[in-house]
Order: sequence, then structure tokens, then C-alpha cells
Amino acid sequence: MASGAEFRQDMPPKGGYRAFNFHRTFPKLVWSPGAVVATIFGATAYGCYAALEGKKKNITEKFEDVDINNAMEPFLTAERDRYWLKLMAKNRALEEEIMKDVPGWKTGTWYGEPVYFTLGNKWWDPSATEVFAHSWGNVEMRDHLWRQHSEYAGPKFYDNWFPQWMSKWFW
Amino acid sequence: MSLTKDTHLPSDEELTVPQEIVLSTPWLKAVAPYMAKQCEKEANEFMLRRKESEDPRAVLKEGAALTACGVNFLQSLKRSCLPQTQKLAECVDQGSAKLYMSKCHDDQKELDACVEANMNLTRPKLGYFSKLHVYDSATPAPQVKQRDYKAEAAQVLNELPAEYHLRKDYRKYNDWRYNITES
Repeated sequence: MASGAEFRQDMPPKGGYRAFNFHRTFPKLVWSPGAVVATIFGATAYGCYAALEGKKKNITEKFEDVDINNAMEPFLTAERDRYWLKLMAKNRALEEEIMKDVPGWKTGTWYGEPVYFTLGNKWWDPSATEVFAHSWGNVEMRDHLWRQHSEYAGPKFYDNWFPQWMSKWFW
Repeated sequence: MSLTKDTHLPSDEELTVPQEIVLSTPWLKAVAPYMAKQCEKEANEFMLRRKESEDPRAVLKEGAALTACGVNFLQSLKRSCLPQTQKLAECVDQGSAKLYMSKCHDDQKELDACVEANMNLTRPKLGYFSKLHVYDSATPAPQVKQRDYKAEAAQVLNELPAEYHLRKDYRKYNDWRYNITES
């Protein structure tokens, strides 16, 4: 049971409580405003510079490739011309052979009516449909429209999982 | 097909050369500037004549000469600078997905030095093949035969009888419209 002699009043510490800070407190200032503004402008300027330089680099890279392609073009054109003319001769011979039993048929015309009236001796490349007329339907898709390739035509990670005869049927 | 029996097509002998340039893309990219510089005259002649005549049949000889020049160059390149060429071609093949040359400038400098030392041929500066070059061919340009369609039409109209009924029910091509949604 509590008695009067054991009672003790809590009192302030000696010298009193420390002064209460009733002022508004601010967080510690890490960067001065001037430094922040300077950093933002600096980063923006560097970003602009880097973007422009990167763009220049990309353009140069592409241009280098284009330049090499220009150098190649005469050689590829010469080869392509020979192949193309061989293909034309083959196509014409095929048409001769196929239509030889049709009375009145003249090769390269519709029963004697020519496709072009004013060409004369001028060369005119036949259209792709005519060129692929004697091929299987999927050959035009494959060779002309370039559909035998996916975007990526290199080796795939699953190449070893399937035998060759099977994997050639899917990309 | 629109090619008739009267259309002249060259024979197989004219269309076959002893050796075609059979290089894969990375190899061709690696050697193309040197080859084009070496065969510049043949290439210019071929491309100019082809452009002027607009006829692949007319420039078969020039094309064969160009291919032969390229093959000659490649043979001598193979004798003198094969390792450097192989290194550059493999770099082009492996360096980037689009087979760009930009990752391979070190290997390219090696090949430049080798070609310059052994074949006396300097690689043209970047952009050389994209510039316009003036080339004078010894062969004159073919004459362009322009038909005078207006005179021919006028002659046909003149030969018609005086009271000939000319149709009035035509529309100009630009006015052909079959429904309102066509523009």
C-alpha cells in the first residue's frame, strides 16, 4: 500500500527543459539551386549533342553501305542482264512448245494481236506475271515476292532438335 | 508473254561468260570498292551504254568485258591479299546484322595497305561511288527515234471522207468516273 512518505513528484531536469524549437524546419540543402539549374541545362545540352552525333554516325554508316552498293551495281547488273535474257528465251521457247497445237496461236500475241503496238525495236521488260507464267504458283511467291525468308534467315536455336527434311519446312 | 518470234533474243553463247563473279555478299562488300575502282572504265562504259540504249541486249559485250575485268582483279587479289580479304569479309559477315562496314574499319585499313602495296590501287574515299562522274564514251549515243504521233493522226483524219461521223460520246480519261466515291 502506498504511503505519503513514498510519494515523489516528477520535476523538470536541473536547469530546465531545453528550448523548444517552434521555428519551421527545412531539409538540408544538398545542391544549391544554381547547381541544379546548371546540371539540368548541361545534361540537356549534352543530350542534344549526343543525339545529333548519333544521328550523324547512323547516316554515315548507312551512306558507307550505300556507297559500297553503288560500287557493286554495275557487276550485279551485268550478271542480272545475262540471266534475265536467258530466262526470257526459255519462257518464249516454253510458250512455243505448249501452244504448238493451238491453231492460229502466235507466240507473244493474242492470236496475232500484239500486246504493244508502238514499241518497234525498243526493249520492254515483260511483267512479273508473264515471267512466272510457266512456273508453279508458289514459285512467284517464293522467288519474286521473297517469301521464302523470314526476317531472320540465319541458324536457329532449335536447328538440332529436328531432322533436316523436317526443319526445311518451317522457319 | 509479250516477246514475239520477231523479238531478237541473244543466243546462249552470247549470254554465257567463262566465269561469273560468284562471291557471297560479305565478300563482295569487302572487295567491291577496289574492284569498281579497278574496272571503272568498263563499268562506266557499260552503265552509260545501258542507260542510253535502255536495252540489255545491246550491252552484252560491255557487260562481259566488265565481268572479265572483275574476275581478273579478283584473281590477282586472291594471289596477293587473300588473308586480309578473308579477315575483312568475316568481319563484315559477323560484325553487324545489316552487313555494315562500320565495325570493320581496322581490317579494312589492313586490306587498304595491302592492296596499295601489291596492286598499286588506292581505295577511293567514302562517297566516291555516290558522286556524279562525267564519262565520255568513244561510242556515240544512239539516236532516239521519236514518232510524230500528231502528224500521223492528222494524216488519218485528213484521209477520212468529208461527211465522216466523228463520235462525240467520249469522255476525257481524267473525267472517267463511274460512281461518286471515285475521285
